[in-house]
Parts: sequence; C-alpha cells; structure tokens
Amino acid sequence: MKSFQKAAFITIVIMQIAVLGVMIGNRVCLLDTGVKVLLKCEPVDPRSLISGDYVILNYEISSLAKDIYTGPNLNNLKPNDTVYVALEKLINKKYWVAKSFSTDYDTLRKSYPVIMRGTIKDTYSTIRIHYGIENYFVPQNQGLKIEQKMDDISVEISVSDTGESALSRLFISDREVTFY
Amino acid sequence: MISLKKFLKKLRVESPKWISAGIINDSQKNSLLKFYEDEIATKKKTLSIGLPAIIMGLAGVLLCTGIIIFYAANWRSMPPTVKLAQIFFLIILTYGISYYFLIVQNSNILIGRIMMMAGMVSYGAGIALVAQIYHISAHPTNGILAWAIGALALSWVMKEKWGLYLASALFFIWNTWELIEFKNPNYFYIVVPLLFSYLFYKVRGSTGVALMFFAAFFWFYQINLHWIGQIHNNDIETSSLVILSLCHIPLGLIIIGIGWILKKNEILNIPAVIITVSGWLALCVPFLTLSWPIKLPSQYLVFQSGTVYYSIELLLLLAGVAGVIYSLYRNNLDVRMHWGGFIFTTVVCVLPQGNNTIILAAMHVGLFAFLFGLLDFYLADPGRRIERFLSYFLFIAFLVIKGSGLRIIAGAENNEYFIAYCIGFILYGVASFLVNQTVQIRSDNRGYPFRPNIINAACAFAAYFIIYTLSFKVDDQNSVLDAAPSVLFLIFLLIVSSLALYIYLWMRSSNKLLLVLSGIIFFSSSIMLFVSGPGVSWIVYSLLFNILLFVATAIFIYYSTRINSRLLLNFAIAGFVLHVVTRYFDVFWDLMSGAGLFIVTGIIGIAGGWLLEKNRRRLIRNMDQSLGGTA
Repeated sequence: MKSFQKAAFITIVIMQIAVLGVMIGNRVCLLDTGVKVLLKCEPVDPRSLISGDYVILNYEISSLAKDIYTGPNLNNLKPNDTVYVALEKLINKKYWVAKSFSTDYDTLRKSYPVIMRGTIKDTYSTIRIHYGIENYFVPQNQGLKIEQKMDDISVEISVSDTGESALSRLFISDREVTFY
Repeated sequence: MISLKKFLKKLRVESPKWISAGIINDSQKNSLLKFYEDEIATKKKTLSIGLPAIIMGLAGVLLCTGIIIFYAANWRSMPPTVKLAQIFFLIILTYGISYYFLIVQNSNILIGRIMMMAGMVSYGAGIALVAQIYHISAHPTNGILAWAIGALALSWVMKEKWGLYLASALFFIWNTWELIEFKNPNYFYIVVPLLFSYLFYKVRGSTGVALMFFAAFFWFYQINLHWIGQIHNNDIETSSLVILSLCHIPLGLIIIGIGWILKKNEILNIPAVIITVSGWLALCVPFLTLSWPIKLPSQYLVFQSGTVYYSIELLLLLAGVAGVIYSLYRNNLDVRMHWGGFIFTTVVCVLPQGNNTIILAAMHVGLFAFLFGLLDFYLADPGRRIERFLSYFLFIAFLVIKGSGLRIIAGAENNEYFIAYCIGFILYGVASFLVNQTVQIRSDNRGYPFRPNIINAACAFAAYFIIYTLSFKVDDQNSVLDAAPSVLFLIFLLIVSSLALYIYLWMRSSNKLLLVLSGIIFFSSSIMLFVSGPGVSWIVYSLLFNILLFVATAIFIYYSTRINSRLLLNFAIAGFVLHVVTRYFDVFWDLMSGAGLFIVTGIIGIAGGWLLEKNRRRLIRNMDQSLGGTA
C-alpha cells in the first residue's frame, strides 16, 4: 500500500468527521445564540428514507400576502429566489408574525430586529416561502399519534443575525413535546 | 455469434458427420473437442466467484442497510448526544477496521473493502442523523452532495469499485433532486460522468462506464429541456425543439463513432455495444419526430431570434462529427454513414428547414437513405453485428411507427383524408420494400449475405393490414389534390422515387415476379388515391378496397407457391379467412337474430375451414413434391 494512500485515507476520514462536526457546530451555535421565536403551525406526517418519520410544519409565515412586500419589483419574484422576512411579536400576543418581506436584507434590517431567510416555493395569489425548518423529525410511528392529539401546535425556533433559522422545540397546547 | 458452449454442443453433433465425409479423422475430432472443452473450463475458472465472497458481500449490504434503518428509526430512548457519539464511533470503527485490513495488514481484503463501504454508509447515516436531530430540511440535497463527495474521495484514493458505484448513484440522486425540486440545470454535472468514467475504467468497471454514459446522456437532455422550459414564446419553443431534434443526427454519429473506437478496448467492449446502440437510436430521433406534417413558425429556424443557442449547439455537434470522422479514418473504420449524416444535416441547415414541404421531404429522403445505408454498408463486415441486427430492427420499427402514426392521424374523428393517409402508408411500405430489393441486388452482386425476406414480409404485412382497414365503410372523403402542399409533395416524391426504383430494379433484377406483384398493389393504390374524393360513395371505396384485399391475398398465395414458403401461405390464408369473416359479419349482422347467426356462422365456418384446410394441404403437398422433384 502506497504511503500516499495511507495519508489520504486518514485525511479523508478526518474530513468526513469534520463535515459532521461543522454541521453539528453550526446548529448548536445557532440554537444557543439565536433569537427565540414562537411560530404557529399545522402539521402532517410523511417519512424520509434515511432520516425517518417527520412532521411537516406549515407556518402562518409560510404564506405571505403580496401587499407586505417592500422590495423591488414584486413581479420579478420567482421560485427558488431568496427572500428575507421581518418578524415581529405583537404586544400581548404569543406568536411572532411576518410584518414585511423583501429581497433586500439591509433595508429590512434597519426597521426590524428579527429577519428570517427563506426561499420562494411559488408565487400565485400569495407568496409561499420555505425556511428550512419545515420538517420536525420524530420517532417511528409517533407522527400520527402527535397529530391526533394536536389541537394547538407551535414551535420555537432560533434565528441568527444573518437570517438563518433552526427548530429548537415543538409545543402541543403550550407543552413541550419530548421523546426521551 | 454463438457462445462457446453452444458451439461445442454443435461441434459434438457435427464432427461425426465430418468423419463420415472424410474431412477429419477420429483423432482430429478428439483434439478439436478437447481444445474447446479446455477453453470453456479456463473461462469458467476465470469467472468463478467464491461463496465466501458472495456471503460477505451480502452481509456488507445488510450491515449498511441496517445502519441506515437504525438511525432512520429515530430511537428516542437514546439521547441525541449519545447517538452522535455512537455515529462518530461507528465511522471511526468501520474505517479503522478497513484501514487495518487494507493498509496495515494488507490481508482479508474483502473484509477491509466491506468495512470501507460500511464506513461510507455510516458517514451518510451521520449526515442524516445530524439533519434528524437538528431538524434540518433546508436544501436537503446538500447532505447528499456532502455524502457523495466523501464517498468519491475515499473510493478514488482506495480504487474501490463499489464505493464508486455508491458515490456515482449519490451524485445522480443529488443532480436529479436539484433539477426537479430546485429547477437547477446543473451545467457542471457533466464533470461527474466524465470523471467517474475515467475512475471506473481504471478499476475495470465496465458496467460503471456504461452507466456513466447514460448519466451524460441524461445531462444532455436536462440542459436542453431546461433551456426549452425557459422559453415563453410558442414559436421559439417549436423552432428550438426542431433544432434540438436535428441535433440528434450529429450527436448520434458522435456516439456511434465513440462506441466503434471503444470496441477495440478490452475493458470497454461491452459498454461500447451499449454506447453504439444508443447512438443509432439517437440518430433515429429526427426521422421519428420531424417526418410528420407539423406547423412551423418560419421558413428558417437555424440562427433566428431565440434559437441561437440551439443553433450553436448544432454547429458544435457537427464539428464534433468532423472530429469523429477523422478519428474513424485514422482507425481504418467505415466513415460512409458519418459522412452521409454530416452532409445531410448541413444541407438541412442551409435549406429553409422551417418550410413544411422541405422538412417533410428532407426527412423522408434522409430516412430512406439512412435505412439503405444501415442495410447495405455493414453487410460484409463481421465486426458489425449490431448494425446488421439494427438494420432489420429499425426498418421494421419504422414501418410499425409510421403505420401506427399515420393510422392514428387517419383515424381522427371526421378525417376527410383517411384514404389519403392510409394509401400514403402503403406507398411508404412499397418504397421500403424497393429499398430492400435494391440492397438485395447489391448484396447478390457482391456475394454478401443478406436475408431480404424478413423486411419483404414486414412490408407485405403492413400493406395488407392497411388495405384491410380501408375495406370497412369510409366516410366522405376530400380529394387528395385538396390536401396540404407538403403532403401532396411527399406523395409525389414517394410515387416518383418508387417508379425510379422500379425501373432500376427491372433493369437489374433477375427475379421480376416480385416486382410485378408488388407493382400491382403500388399502381392500384396510387390510382385509388386519386379516385377518392367528394361525391364518391363509400360503396365504391368498399368495393375497390375489398377487391384489392382479395388481389393482395391472391398475390401472397401465388407467391408462396412460387417460393415454396409455407409461412407466407399460412399467413395469406389466415388473412383471407379474416377478410371473409369480417365481411360476413358486416353484411349479415343486421339481418339475422344473434342465435341463428352464430349457428349458421358455425356451420359455414366448419365447412369453410374444411375446404380451406383441404386446399391448404393440397398446396403444401404440391410444394413438398416440387421440392422433392428439385432435390
């Protein structure tokens, strides 16, 4: 066996472990330092072949009215474009809601402290946005049980300064759902 | 080419005859048999796979699947941190064992390779686990890409064939997911099949090379169809599709050339077959898609507003064909089809290819030239078995496709050109038959093997089937002279070229009977094409086409006795029975009660069957006697 192969084998394995480490580190950092936001949602439960069962979370902020768009040329928006959504917690209200959205992060940032980054899914009567926090993985066969019990579901997410978001906790009727 | 095993079996049967004929003696027979028996035994030994290897391979698959399923089950009795620690431990353990066996000890290679695969799968499971624990769903393809890159890197370094299969599959999933979910055309994905082809070649993975060829083909379509998806103007979209279809001629020629060159390579000779066949099929695409009456937006399509990208692509592919011709020439391979395709595509680019008449005529001329070339060029070359098989296959496939297509158009509701379309197909069938006859004369003159009866029979069957469909009641028809100019010109072209071929064959052929018999169908169909029109009662059509059907049956029966073909005779009699039965039900259905009809039909059927069988047997007996007499 060549010495190059020895070195390369070890390097590649270390790099693969590093990739996992970066993924974990990024999430841990985001969950620890991000602004905690509570969102209202409606779930269903499919299954991923490699990550198992999950609940699809559809948020109120997943579908935005066109009239709160404050960026340039609304008609140019198309699927897979990145947009930024400004969130605000209303006084005496539990959940955060979308106040405005735009393709221009800097302008929004001047007026709102919490901005979430998302990707447009489609642009029909409303703008549907995907934030990357739509899947909540649950133990096998737990999704349906959760769904049947649910009359009031919400999630807590962490939002970073750059708009990246991560799911931290799931609540049913204000009680956190835990599996272990 | 038969397998060695079959050859040996045949040799065992034939060799005693050779001894009786005094060609070889007993000892030579035994030497011959031993020579091939040894060769088979050596081959078997080379190909043998040990049972332990199979068991360990299957165990490896189970282990990898188990790892994926375990983490997918999301077993929450275990806290996420423990799971993460576990997956890191698993990765290090599997890779560690692999490292130990492959690098430190350099023994138990199979276990080392299985552990490496398990390590790669554990790495993928780790990515999925992190996504699961942290509920990451933004752009899930990134995880697949990270997995694919990790598997590729290790497989590349360790020359691990199965790792390359895993990595290439992951790249393909990533690409397709990106394309479908995120509408990403992935222009650079072509690097993946190219790189993997090289890597598979290095590890002698011929199947991998073949798969990468299909991945590259997939990329070609994903890019082109993505571009077309971006066009929001119907005219530009149609023009682009026409040019894309034309691109298949140079593309097919390039692929065929690559296949031929790769065939000389010991490792790549099997993928070369797949590549060559794909090339020939690609070459057929424009003849299949553009040889129908279609509405085109303008006289010229190439290098018009909105079609520049496709036009450049066509030019680049033509340049590629020029390069392939040069390579084939350097390798002493046949370049006639490549030159033909190159010139044909260039001419179509120069002509007003957006004109319906021009494109329709060009595609039919090109199609017949292509089929002629495929039948004629490779007759004598023992290395061109694929082409010889495809020449028959494609000839018949085009008959079926053109027949079905024209029948569908003709059968459209209230179609006033039903007869014109159907007879158009008969003319196509006759032209195909004449091309086949031309090849036969050329092959006879050069002493090359050629079996004309396969295509002759297909043409005869096609003509018979269409005449049969025309023998039913036909609604009022328009005159063919009122049809679109492109259709009229095509009919004119088919008639004129058929006449020219008849004259050529009449002067060269020693067997004029077939020409006379086919000529009866050709001329009577052509006359009926111009007889049909407004004011002609359906009874006239019915009468004429039923007579033509009887004439066709008579021709087949007569010819079957001339060439002593029982198959043709049985086919003709079956056709005759079908014809009579069809007409019987047509005429008498309304006049009799169902029960009475079937009783009478049964009696007539038995009597008719007995008479037919008696005559069929008599004819077969005559044939046998005639054959016996000849012998």
